[in-house]
Amino acid sequence: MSDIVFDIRDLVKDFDGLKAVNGASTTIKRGEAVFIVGPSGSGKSTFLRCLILLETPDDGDIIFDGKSILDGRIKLNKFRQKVGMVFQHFNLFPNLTIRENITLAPVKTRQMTLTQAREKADALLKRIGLYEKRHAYPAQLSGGQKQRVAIVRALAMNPEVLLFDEPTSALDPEMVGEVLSLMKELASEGMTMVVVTHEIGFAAEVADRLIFMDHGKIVAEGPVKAIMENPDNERIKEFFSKVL
Amino acid sequence: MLKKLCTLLLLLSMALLTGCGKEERPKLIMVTNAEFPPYEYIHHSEIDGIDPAIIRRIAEKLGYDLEIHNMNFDSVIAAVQTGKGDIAASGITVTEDRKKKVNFTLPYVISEQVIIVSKTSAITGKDDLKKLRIGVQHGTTGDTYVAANIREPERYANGALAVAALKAGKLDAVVIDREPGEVYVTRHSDLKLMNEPLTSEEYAFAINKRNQLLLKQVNEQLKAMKESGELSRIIQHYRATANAEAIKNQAVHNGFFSKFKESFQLNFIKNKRYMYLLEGFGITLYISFFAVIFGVIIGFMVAVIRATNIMTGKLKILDRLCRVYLTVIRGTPVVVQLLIIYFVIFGSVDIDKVLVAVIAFSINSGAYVAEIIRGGIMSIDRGQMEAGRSLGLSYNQTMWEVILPQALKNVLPALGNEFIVLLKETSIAGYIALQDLTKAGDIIRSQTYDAFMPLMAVALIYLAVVMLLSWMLNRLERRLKKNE
Repeated sequence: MSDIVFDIRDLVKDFDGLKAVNGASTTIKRGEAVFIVGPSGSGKSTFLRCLILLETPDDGDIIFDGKSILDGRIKLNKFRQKVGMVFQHFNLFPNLTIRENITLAPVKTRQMTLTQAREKADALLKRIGLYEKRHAYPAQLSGGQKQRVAIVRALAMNPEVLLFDEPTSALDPEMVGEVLSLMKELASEGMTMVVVTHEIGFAAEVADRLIFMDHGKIVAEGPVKAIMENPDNERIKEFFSKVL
Repeated sequence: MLKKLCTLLLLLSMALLTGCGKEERPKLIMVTNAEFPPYEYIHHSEIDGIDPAIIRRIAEKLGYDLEIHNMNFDSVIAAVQTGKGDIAASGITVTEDRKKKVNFTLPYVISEQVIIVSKTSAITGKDDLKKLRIGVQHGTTGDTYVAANIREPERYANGALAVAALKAGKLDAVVIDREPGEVYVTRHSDLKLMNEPLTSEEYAFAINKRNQLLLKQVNEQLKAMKESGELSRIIQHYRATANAEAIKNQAVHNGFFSKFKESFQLNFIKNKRYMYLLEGFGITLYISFFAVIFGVIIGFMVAVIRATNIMTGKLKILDRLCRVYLTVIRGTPVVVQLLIIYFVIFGSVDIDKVLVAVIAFSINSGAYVAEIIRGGIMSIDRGQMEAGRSLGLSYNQTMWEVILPQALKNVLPALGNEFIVLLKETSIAGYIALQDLTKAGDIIRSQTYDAFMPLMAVALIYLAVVMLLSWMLNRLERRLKKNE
């Protein structure tokens, strides 16, 4: 396995003439926690969704583990098994219990037997303190609990990288903490993470690297401090003055 | 010798035509509308009357096995034309229009169209009819004659309904054939028959134009029966029976409850008439049950194809086909679809009518179920599909494990409603001569000349089933809700 998980080159995503992502290039290294920030509509979510092909890029290339995922030769479902995604609105399956939510994909993709998957799910649920809720349905959980389940659901597939699309934006303030602390734990364990977020303080604390996006382009990237304290760009200055 | 040879050849050709030769006797299918006493009516579950008696005698003499199919009067000519039946014997009046479609045998009876009015009516003759409301049985000569010579009549499915409407004051007069007309006025003391007939006409049997042989045979037999007096004996016998029956059934008016009880006895208990309702109910349930199952299967497949096309742009050709199917089925009345499937698509195939009904109602219901389920699929947040796909599940796996269970739960009330609609829609099965619950009511009515009781019984049975169904669906819904 190479050191670089994602190598993204001149990525473009065009929504009927509106270039949401307009020539973005960067690399994501193994074990790195990369946080993407920027104003609304800057294309950061679209950029993230391109990485797991929930959006199909219109130009550029994405190299995953040394192979292009856009040349039409990869097996899409196999690729996605290696990349986990956590959504803003959790997207748990309301028709399945908490444990079934976690075991569905490992079992259906034949990564594990049902017994193995259940053991794994139980262990993950114990870790986040929701083992007692394993037979409950998503509707019976709080927002923070749902998002933590969604994170371990993605973890159950043993992904090489986890993508987070504004994971705390839909949560009540008092529930943000529990989700962030789980994410921090994962980062400290060396999980490769790409996080789109508005939680600048959290980003400052956890991120190995910060990417600032505006108008579909990566305007600045580097260590958090460098970008936040010495912004060489008016837009970045303006942004941080508003959010901090 | 030559005659014998001819008969032999004929039998041989009949055997070949029916395709099941060997030692069996050839089959003769008579089609009729057994709601026209004394010509044809159902008695102890058997079709009896003047026409069946004559044809039975002829079939016997010619060595055929007779099979009688009961259907709506407006379908009997079409049945002979399309080969669904060999001979139509249903008190059919010979007219120029009908002659263009089928061949008629020699007439076996001369009948008259008469006018029935209320006893208190001021009508004195046919000249008074011009401005009045006239009821007829749809598709009969009375219908044609009144429409052509007097005014547009109000068309009822059978004579009994027209007479019931007259009694209820909804009509001023009913034009009907003389024999049943006489039965009605005997049964209902508040009605009278105008002496002067409106028109007179000949009854004959109808045979497919290509079947010259059968026409010749039947004519020979009719001639012989006429000469021997057998024909008039049969006709006299049934007319006398009908009159005696009518007199027996004459209502004795004695207050509401005894009247009700008497009517109940007559319509349901006597001659085990409740059996019609039971058997009809069975057929209604049978058709509805299988149509729901196949309708859901069809609808399910169409919905998934359509939703997949909308969400992913795949399956273009299948989607086109599905859209044509939906447009045609939802754009035409189910009764028309039923008739087309029976008379056109299966026109030249000997197929069980219940099966035809199941096919027609499945195809019809499938279109509505498809749109209901598609709506359910589209109503599921697209984040669900994205979550499934991001975990590495395929489109089909996500659809099956995640989307459809939620969609089905959401559309359960709408689906339940569709099942209820379907159950009631099967009441048109009578159009292809199936004796479903509604038709059972018609049959009883045609025997008892009473509209109220059979209709009420039929309505109550439908109502009870629908209420039971609603209750079950409610329970199911509540059980599924528990998971949320």
